[in-house]
Amino acid sequence: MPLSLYVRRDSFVHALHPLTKVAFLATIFAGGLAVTHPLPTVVLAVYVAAAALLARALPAFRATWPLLLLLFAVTTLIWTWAYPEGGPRLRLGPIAVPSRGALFGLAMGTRLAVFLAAGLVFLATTRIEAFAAALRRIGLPYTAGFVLTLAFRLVPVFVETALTVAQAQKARGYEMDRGPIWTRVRRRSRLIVPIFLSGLRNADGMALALEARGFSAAGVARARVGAGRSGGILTYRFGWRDGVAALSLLGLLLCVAWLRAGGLGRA
Amino acid sequence: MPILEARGLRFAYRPPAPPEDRPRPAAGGAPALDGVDVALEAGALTAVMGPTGAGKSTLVRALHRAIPCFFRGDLAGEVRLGGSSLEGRSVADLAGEVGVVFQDFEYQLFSSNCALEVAFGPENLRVPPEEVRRRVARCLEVCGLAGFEEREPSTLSGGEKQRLAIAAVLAVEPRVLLLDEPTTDLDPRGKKDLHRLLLRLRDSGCAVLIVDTETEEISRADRLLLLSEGRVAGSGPPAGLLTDVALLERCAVRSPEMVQVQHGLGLPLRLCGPEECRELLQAAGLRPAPGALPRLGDRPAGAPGGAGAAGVPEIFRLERARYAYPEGEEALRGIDLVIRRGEFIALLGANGSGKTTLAKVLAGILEPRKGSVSFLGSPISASPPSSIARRVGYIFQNPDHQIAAATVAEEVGFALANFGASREEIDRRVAEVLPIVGLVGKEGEDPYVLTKGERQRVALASVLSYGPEVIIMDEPTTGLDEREQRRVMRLLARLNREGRTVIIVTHALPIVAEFARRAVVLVEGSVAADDSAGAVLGAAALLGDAGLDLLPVTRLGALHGVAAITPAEFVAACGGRLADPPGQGRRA
Repeated sequence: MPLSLYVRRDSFVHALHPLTKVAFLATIFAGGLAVTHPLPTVVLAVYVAAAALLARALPAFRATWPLLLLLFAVTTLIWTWAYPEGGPRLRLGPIAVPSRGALFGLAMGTRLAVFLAAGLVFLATTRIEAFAAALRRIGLPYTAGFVLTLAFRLVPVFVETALTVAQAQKARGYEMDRGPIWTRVRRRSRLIVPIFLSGLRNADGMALALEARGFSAAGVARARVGAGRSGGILTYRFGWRDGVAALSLLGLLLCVAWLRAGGLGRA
Repeated sequence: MPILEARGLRFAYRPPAPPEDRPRPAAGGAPALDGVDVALEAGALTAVMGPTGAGKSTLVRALHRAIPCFFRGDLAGEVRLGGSSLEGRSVADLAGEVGVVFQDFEYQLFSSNCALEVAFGPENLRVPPEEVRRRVARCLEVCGLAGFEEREPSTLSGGEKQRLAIAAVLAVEPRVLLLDEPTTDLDPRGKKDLHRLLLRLRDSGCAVLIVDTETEEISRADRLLLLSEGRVAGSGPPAGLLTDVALLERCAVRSPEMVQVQHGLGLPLRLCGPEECRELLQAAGLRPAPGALPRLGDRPAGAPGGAGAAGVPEIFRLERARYAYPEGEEALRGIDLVIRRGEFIALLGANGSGKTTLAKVLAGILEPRKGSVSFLGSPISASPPSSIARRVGYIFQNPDHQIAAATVAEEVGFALANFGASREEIDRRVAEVLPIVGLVGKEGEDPYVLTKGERQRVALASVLSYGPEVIIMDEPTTGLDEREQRRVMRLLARLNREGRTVIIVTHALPIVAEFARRAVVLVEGSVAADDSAGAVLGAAALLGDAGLDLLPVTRLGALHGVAAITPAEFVAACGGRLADPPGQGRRA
């Protein structure tokens, strides 16, 4: 069972320097946080969708699109009615929708979906090792960067353990999906002990296995991988693709800024 | 001069007890290791065996400084590498000289493809990239993984993962390789491949130490170290120790089958294969009486007492059952199977053949995507999961996935509470079940401080407490020593004699030979054979397809023209008797 979201492809996006991909993430996040109107967030969404298509990273979305859709729908609905300056109501059949609230809700829903989708494109096109290299290039110590990326790897392992533990309890007649929501939550909490202990064992074992392969050996502060440096079997160099990607990201930022300046920054 | 040497090694864990496979601190602070000496020479393979809690893993940890760097406790004695004391050095310091492969390969692999996994160690040790690339190619080749460079480690089979873990360690070119029970989760073919690889490494000059449970494979080691209660119970060439039946019995190590045969016939004991054993028998004028044993194909597959075929009620019926995991991998490809009340069935097959998936489908834990599964005549999916669970008890391979309560008594009564039993009923059933699994007196203990064998029995007791008609146990003997294996299996055999249907998932053919009556062999998600255990264990080609091998005693029987699947029946056919437990044997 594959445990990471990385999708092996020979695409334009895959070939980018990991720092360029970090810049992509930063641009999407900065752009998204700067606006609360649906139009600029839709522009960001189109950019991310184009990146996903260019990267041929759609397999990474196969299991996650229902979550994206759900988050979009729930966030949009909540903010539509929770927005304090809801504005005049629009009648949609029997429902009266606050117009400004709806715009704000749409922007928030799209923003969240765009952030998640951008993260997925990043993880689908960037190896854990490249991610660690990028983190180190932006100043994070090698050890910290590696451990951070290791967390991404542990999440699916944890999920798999949780599923097995849930199966083991189901096999003994333990029903987690019966009763009101608080009962279900309480019953599921019973699974925490075996899952937690299993997680601790994995973490302990992994720490020992890392050390046994020289992770913190003297002098390891040198980059395991790095642009233009000898250090590992993976090396990254900026190329023409990175130039094109940087220009497109700049264009995207300018477009969002222009929309914001034109009064379309806020709902 | 030895490369790695330990003198007077003594270590006592400091509580709290670490969970899982780590040894429980013995009561009263008894040491896990108590004055152990070991010397690893270049070009020599040393095997370590012994019962659960003997100190085998503790020894490996002490040899590569995980003790005292990762495990707290009181350490005495000295470990020297190349003549220099390791005092003050860290685990990572030794990485370039002492490679370690752990039992659980899952947490040893953390890179996004096999090439990067192998490169990880040498890169950490600042080996130049060109040399790293050469080592990656060479180590993958040596471990039979050439062409796997771009594969994600999590998509490999169990055997491939273990070989990748070894390749990753070999890439740092260690002088010493330590392996802590690396074969536990491998099928027989995977085990064989691994041992072949270790012999090649030994021949290339590496000092290799392996902790293992397989006596047949260990016989080719240069030296065997038997540990018991933290002390060296025996040390020397395997040919000497593996023929000392009494010592092996004390150390909960199974005697090789040929030794069991010679012992049962009162012959001088010699470590040998079936061919040489035949010569020994001939020299002693012994041979099995023709027709003393029924042909393997004629042995009954059904329940005890002659039941089993038509007329006995069906428990399960599977028709063209298919199951695919969400990632798209199809684990079952059209299974047709009927299981009747009172049967004792072994599900056999290589790693990844679909055995566990089939067992989970039978227990109603997984629902087939296509085809049908009926339980007692009704579709299994039509019944609520709790009603299936009430009648079909499933024990997972790792008991820790099951244990959720704070005490043994609570854990054993957990399922009963789920089924709505009263407090009095739960207490009564717990009191009835604990003696059956030999856990009386442990009621108030935290299940996580018990040994794995005891935790396995807690999980079994938790299922027995509500008296299901069917008991399904996934790998009931994995990770247990010989003594614990027999204890669990005898318990299952007793439950089967009392009328319960028992289904086990296993790779352990001697266990199948001794306890199961019927065997279902899976190959790539399909039923390749469904017959009596005897018929399956005698079918060399079929076993080969399933990643399994004929048992040595079956090969010995074939050399004599008789069909035997256990040493006891071969001995009986020769007019002898295999004592149980084995007594003193005469040494050659």
